[in-house]
Amino acid sequence: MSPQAREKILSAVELALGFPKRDEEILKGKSTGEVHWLNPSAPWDSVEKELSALSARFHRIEDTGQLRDLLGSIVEEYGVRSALMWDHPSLEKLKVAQFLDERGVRRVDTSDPEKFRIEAAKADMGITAAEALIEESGAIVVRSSREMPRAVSLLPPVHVAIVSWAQRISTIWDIVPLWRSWLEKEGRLPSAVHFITGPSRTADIELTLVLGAHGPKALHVVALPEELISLRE
Amino acid sequence: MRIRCLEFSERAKGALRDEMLQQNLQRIGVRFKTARDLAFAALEDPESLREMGRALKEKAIANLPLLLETLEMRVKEAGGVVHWACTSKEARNIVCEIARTKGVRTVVKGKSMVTEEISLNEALQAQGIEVWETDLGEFIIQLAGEPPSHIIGPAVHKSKEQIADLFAQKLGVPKAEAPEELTRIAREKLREKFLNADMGVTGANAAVAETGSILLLENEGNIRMSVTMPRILVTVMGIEKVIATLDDLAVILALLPRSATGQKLSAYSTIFTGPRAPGELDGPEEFHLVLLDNGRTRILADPDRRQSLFCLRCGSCLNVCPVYRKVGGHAYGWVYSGPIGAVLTPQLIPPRLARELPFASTLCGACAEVCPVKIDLPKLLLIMRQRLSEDPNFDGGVPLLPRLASRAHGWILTRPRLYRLAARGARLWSKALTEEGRWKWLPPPVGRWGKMRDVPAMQVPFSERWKKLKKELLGGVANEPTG
Repeated sequence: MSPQAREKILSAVELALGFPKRDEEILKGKSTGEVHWLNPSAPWDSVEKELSALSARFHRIEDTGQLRDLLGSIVEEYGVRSALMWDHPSLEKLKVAQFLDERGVRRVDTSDPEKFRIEAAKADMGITAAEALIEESGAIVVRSSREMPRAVSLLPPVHVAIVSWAQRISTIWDIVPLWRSWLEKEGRLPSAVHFITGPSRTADIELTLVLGAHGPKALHVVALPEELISLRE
Repeated sequence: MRIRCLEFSERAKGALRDEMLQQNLQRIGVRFKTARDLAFAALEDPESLREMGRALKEKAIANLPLLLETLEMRVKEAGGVVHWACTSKEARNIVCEIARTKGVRTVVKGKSMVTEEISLNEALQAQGIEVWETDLGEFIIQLAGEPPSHIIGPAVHKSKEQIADLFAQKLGVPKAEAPEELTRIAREKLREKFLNADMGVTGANAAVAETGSILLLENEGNIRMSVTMPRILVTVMGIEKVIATLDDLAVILALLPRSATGQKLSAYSTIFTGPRAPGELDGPEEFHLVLLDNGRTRILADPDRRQSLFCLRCGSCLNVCPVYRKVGGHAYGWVYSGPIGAVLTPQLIPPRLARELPFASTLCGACAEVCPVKIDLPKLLLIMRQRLSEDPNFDGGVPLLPRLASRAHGWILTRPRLYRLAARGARLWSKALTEEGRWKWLPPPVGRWGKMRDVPAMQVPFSERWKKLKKELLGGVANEPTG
């Protein structure tokens, strides 16, 4: 029935609108791929305020020592015994895997694609690296790829996302140039892009807010100096 | 979903008597409205954001053929499959056929109004497939066997005690009334389903023609689960949901969560493009997009009613509507409730089956003031009333008496002498039955209407007062010597 329905609908739409002129211009976006990143040294108060209002935790870290302390305290706070992390150059450069091994936190093995889902579901903590942090809302932007599976920011009860000081944008409007820069480089958008704004939540029962509906119950956003993180390309 | 719009009055009465429902409706109305108002007040120029929303929908609808074809092309390029469905039945058949050929046994669903519109769950279940609504509110009402009562909070009409009883009865868990505990029970139950389901089904908040991407907003993470875990993903969307560019997508992201819940952004905004890319460890292996007409091209053909299709389904018109806030969503008898429901329902289903809905409004205009895409809902309500009244099949949306009265009124109005006579008669009645310029008693059936209102007494019209007035005013002038 498919081809017939297609023609039927499209011709009904054409007829309803009086055969509109085809203006390909409307498919061209206005903004370019030039992203307006905020100055890393500009105050971080509003990010902190937004995230704490969302019951997420924000940490501005100066060096790797502080990062190890922070990860240690997160592991302790939630009793983390296994972790799922992205195969990401920033996490590699920060030696997160090494730290987890030293602390005796089991790293979930993601080498077997068949078993990925089952293994990922067992992890206590997921560690990702965000593409951007939006100051206005406290949202982080993550994307998917072979090395960056979606489940890492979704299945474990605790999500830790690292982001560079230099990856901050002001508002939602600044995201379009970032999308365009991906389009320019890769010819298409990633298979999935997620804006994550605080831990998973629901208010479906008597409008009472409950954290950890289906996704993580806790979200830690960790901002680090750019030189500690090697950005892709 | 069964259409029960004709029971509006009856169900509204029931709702008004239900104290629990009245309490809950009051609570959501105030909460959502306040949150929305605060979010917009915090914007530098809230009006221009709404203008942008309006403009992008106008552009999208005016260029719909091009956008739909481009969307189809981009989705295919990204590795997805595009299906077109003229009717609910075709859409159901498409999804059921995918499920059948792929050996699907369990489906997890993200909250979606359009799949309620096409009654998808029933069709899949009839095929022996297990279907799980995974939004907490939807999960609750699915267990209760009820339709959603609010676009954003489908189970807002239920108290935690009622939900606790429901869970204990249907899931066999110990009774627990704390929302935290109830949420945990649902999380555990559904987690298992997410990990084992073969197919995820969602609606779409928007689809971007430029890139072939689908936008889904949510707070719980159940939609992310539904579009990430199962090997097959089916998204059903009305053809009016397509937008042109990523710039437009940013406008939707700025506008929709603020309107719906007062959030700057929902906890999760997912923008996915096609199925998982080669080598990826998760995400669906197959992605099917079902583009649904189901009456939308008919609405499109009428320039006056076209704007009904701009709706983003944020629910803000419900939260401010004095009628919705008293009668709740179920009274509307189908998927869409509140002012937008009263406008959409009689356009999407046979109008005679929803004839009462456009009349269930005070036309106060609060809905138009909050609509993020500035749909002129009061005007649409009037248009729908007019159309229904002119419909020869229309039998009862306007009760007989008012209909006869308005016909008589029209007849008298075209006969000035008769009109003056009638007005004079009415004034005599008025004189006898008013006190301090207000009617003390009105004859039925107007009496009931007047019970809650101060109805002013009949006044002598200016045209008649003028004769006397002219004499008084001009009297002085006439006495002055001329020349």
